Amino acid sequence: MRKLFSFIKFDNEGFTPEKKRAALYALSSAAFAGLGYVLQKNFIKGFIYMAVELAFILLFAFWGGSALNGFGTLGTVSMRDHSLVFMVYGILALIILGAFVCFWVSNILGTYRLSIKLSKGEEEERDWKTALKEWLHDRTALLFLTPGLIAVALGILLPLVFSICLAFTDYDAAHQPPLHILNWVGLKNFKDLLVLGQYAKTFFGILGWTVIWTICSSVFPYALGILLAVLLNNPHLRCKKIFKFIYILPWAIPGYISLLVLQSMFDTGYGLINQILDVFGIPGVPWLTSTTPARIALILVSIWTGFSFPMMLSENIIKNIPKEVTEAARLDGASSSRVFLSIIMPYLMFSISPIFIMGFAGAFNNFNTIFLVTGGYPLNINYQSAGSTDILITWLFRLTITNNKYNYGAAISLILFIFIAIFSIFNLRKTRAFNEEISE
Amino acid sequence: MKDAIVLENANEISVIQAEPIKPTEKKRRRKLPVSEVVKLVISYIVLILVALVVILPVVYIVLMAFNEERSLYIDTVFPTQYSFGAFIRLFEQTNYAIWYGNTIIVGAMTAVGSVLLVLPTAYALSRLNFKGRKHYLMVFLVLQMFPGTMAMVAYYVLLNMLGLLDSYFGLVIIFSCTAVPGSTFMMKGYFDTIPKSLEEAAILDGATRFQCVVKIIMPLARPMIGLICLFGFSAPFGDYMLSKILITDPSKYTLALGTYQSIYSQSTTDYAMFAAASILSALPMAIIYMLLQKVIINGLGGAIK
Repeated sequence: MRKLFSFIKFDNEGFTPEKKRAALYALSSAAFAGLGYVLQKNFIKGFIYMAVELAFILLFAFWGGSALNGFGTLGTVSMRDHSLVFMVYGILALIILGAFVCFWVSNILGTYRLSIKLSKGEEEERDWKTALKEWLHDRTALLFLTPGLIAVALGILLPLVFSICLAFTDYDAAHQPPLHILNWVGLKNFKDLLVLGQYAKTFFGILGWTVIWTICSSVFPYALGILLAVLLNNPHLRCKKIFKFIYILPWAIPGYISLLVLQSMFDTGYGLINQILDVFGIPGVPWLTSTTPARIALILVSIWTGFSFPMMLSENIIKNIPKEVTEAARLDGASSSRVFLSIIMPYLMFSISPIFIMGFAGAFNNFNTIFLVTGGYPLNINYQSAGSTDILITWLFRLTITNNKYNYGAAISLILFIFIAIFSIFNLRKTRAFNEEISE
Repeated sequence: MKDAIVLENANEISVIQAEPIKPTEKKRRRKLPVSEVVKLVISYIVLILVALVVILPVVYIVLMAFNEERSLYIDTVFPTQYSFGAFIRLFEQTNYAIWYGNTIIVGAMTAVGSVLLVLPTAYALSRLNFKGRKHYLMVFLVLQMFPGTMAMVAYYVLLNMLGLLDSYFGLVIIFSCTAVPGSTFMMKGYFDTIPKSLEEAAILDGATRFQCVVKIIMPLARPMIGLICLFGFSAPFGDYMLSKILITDPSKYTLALGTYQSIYSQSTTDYAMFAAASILSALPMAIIYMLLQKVIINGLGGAIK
């Protein structure tokens, strides 16, 4: 709170008459945005701000108020009121309200600062052209950020908030707007998912496999990628170009194609892999139709599709290690394994860790691999509409699309989002590379 | 004792190698100590094994595509008779060409849209000082990890309200918007490497920030802009899930959707056609990515440096 009002500096000077006047102007701006500017004869800014406030008042009088109200009730008459539409408008109104509050606060602060400047004689009279130019200059950052901000607000934030809201409603196959009016049900969906019988069992079962899957399908490809990069770094090695060319293939081929091809290769009856096993006299494995083989197949597929990128990255990083460092170490008598362990590895880990963390979050949400290779199958009879290889994100897809349990789907996505957000912030804050990046 | 001397030699050798002395190369190879040779042999074994595993599906699918035999259930992997039949069937029996066109249209529009959104945002984050800059980066980082699957119902409802279901624009809007956080991060990393003195000089000469971006930054950041374009362009090539939810009209299908819905579903009877479709879908993308791999890796590396 103290920080918020720090603009009224309670310093040694005390509450001088200038500050009093400035506070009064600020108060007038608080009453109606831009008023303080007009009173101080800064007409252009003042009128623009007043116009914004007027537009906002009109918008909320004719639309925003009822939108917010509709957000609370989600409609009253079925077939006439569409609850989902009400929800979207309500969220939009909230976002606009938030933006207006920011604008309003900055207008109050601006009025105050202007008055102080005027009383100190720092602000000279200018014609409107230079005034506009300076105003634009002060606001360049905002102007540049606006397109991206709008895109993020409408393309990511709005859908995200909408999904979060759905998690607190009874939107499912039995309640489909506009035929039915949706109701807010509080934490009921979360209770069903996390505490009650069948669904809770499914949730925690799937969560367990999701964790295993996330760790395996991110650590193994990175480990293989780093290993290959290190091997390729050997100066005696021939044909490096050919090896690199082959290793980059899985990265260059669009994901869904390699996934579908690999899926068909794992086919139990006539897939290539079982045919090859047959040549060596090993009986065919029921990949994809039995739980453990299906899980192993998924992890193998994730290694195949995922190792190229870490390999390229590590190769690039190793190449960029200053030659002087490694050579100095060698001259001092360090063996090549010592150089590797004490110089190359730490350097590599330091540079690669932020990307690895993002890869980890990506593996957690790796919808395509699971969906296209096993589809979550084989079905698990102990689970509620889920298969043994389903991870949270594919289960959420199935609940939503096949079972029309939109509310449960939304609740799962909220839980997922919380997991990812906490995990990534926690980890990225710890990575030095990220901190350096942000503080420079 | 002898071992120690050999090892010492090894160190000297590896120092010398740093300089490219071509004529002595053969001599030096003969002098390799035993430990190095063993290491090299193991390296070769690992590298070749991995390479074989990687190349196997690629070779397999190429062989299948040119196989006269249609089904997956064949006796030998190597076809007895080669033919282009699968490719001909692909264009005669399915809307493959139309899907290809759709994907290219959506990809091109996404490329343009995402660059227009990312460029100013990244510039502000890299060059301009404003309150909460650090928080922006943090929020972007978190949003970047937010997968589209989570909000699929929201996307469906929103685009339905806008009447943009079954249209290119719906997909373009979503692909462009969701690309903003991640691409902005990369672009910002690249901008950070461009010296500020250039713009400072221009601003002293009276240039506006906008002019700086268009005249100084954009030409210098051309590789990164190209990269963001490429990522935008490849978004519809890689996405299956969102397209499936938002597009129901078969004539509006993207490549991934069409391949999965109409071609892969009948791959048990005509696997060769699926193989042919895979090759044609993968080839252009694979070539572009192969050619630009250095730019891409450097670009992604710039985001973390």
